Amino acid sequence: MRIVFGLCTLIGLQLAGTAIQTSLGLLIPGPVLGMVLLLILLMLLGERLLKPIELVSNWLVQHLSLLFIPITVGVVVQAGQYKHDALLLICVATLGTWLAMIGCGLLLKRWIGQEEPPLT
Amino acid sequence: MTELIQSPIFAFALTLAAYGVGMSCYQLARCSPLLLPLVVSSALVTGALYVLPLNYTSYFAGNQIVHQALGPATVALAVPLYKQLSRIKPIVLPGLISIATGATLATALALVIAWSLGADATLLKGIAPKTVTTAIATQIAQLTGGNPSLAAGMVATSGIAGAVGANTIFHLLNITDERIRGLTLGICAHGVGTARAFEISPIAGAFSGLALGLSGLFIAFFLPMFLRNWLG
Repeated sequence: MRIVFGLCTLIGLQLAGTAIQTSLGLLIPGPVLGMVLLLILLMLLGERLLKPIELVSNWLVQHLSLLFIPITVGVVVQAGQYKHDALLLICVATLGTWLAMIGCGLLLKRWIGQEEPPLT
Repeated sequence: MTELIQSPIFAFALTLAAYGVGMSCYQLARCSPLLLPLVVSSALVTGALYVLPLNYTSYFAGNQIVHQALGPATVALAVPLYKQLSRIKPIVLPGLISIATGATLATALALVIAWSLGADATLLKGIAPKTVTTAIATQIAQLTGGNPSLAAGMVATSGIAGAVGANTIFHLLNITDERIRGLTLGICAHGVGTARAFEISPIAGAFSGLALGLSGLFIAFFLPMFLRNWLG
C-alpha cells in the first residue's frame, strides 16, 4: 500500500507542477515544479508525509540511471544525422563539460569551503 | 520468434536485463567510472537493437513506462533534499551564487567552444541548453528556434561525459567534500550526473539534485532572453 500511495503522491505532484507550468506559461518543467511542491509539503508535514513516500522515492532515486536508458539509446541510434558536425558536438559535450566541472569545482571550493571528510 | 521480440514486454525486459548486467559489471569493476551502469546498459541495448529484428520506435514504445518514470523520479529528488536540509541551510547564500555562476560558466564555455569551432546560429541554439535537464533543454530549444532533438542529445552526451570524468576531476582538484562533488555534478551534468552523485553518496546526490533544480530554473529564466538578443 505504501508504494501505491507513494507513487500516486509523486505523480499527483508532477501533474500539479505541470498544471502550474501550463497555466502560467512557464518554461520550468512540471516535474521540477513538482519537486519544489514536494519539498514545501515535506517542510510543512515532516515525518507524516516522509514515511509513506520514502520507500518508492528512494527506489526511484537510486535507480535513476535505469530511467535514462531508453533516451540514451535514442541518442546513440539517431546520432548518424549529426555526423556532419560530430567532432564539434563531441568537443563541446566532453571538453565543455569537463572544463565547466573544473571551473565549478574550484569556484565552489573557494566560496563554500571544504568540509573535512568524516574519518572512516 | 520475431513477434515475441517485437512485443512491448520484451523491449521492457531488454532494458531491465541490460541495467542488471550494467550494475553487475559496475560492482565487479569496483565502481570504475569507465563502466558506468548507464554507459554499459545503453551500449548493450544499442547492440541488441542492431542484432535483433527490433527498431528503436518499437523498443521505445515498450519502454514508455521507464521513460515516463523520470517525471515522478524528479519529484522524488525532494526527499533526499529534505533530509539534507540541515546541511544546506548554512550555505544557502554562497550556494545560490555558486550555482548561478557555475551554470552561466558551463553554458558560456559550451557556446565559446562551439563558436570557435565554427558552429552557426542554429547549431548554437541547439547546443546552448546543454547544461540543464532534458525537459528544460528541449523546451528552451523549441522556444528559441534550436533543434530540440539535438538539445536532448547534447544534454545526454554532456551528462555521460561529466559522470565519466567526475572521479578524475575531483581527484585532480583534490575535492573531497561531498557537497561540492554533488553541486558540481548537478550544475554541469544534470540528471545523469545526479544519478552518478547518488552512486557516490546520499549527500552528494542530494546536493546534485539541488543544483540540478536551481541551475535549471536559473537557465530557463535567462538563457532564452540571452539567445534572442544575441542570435535573434
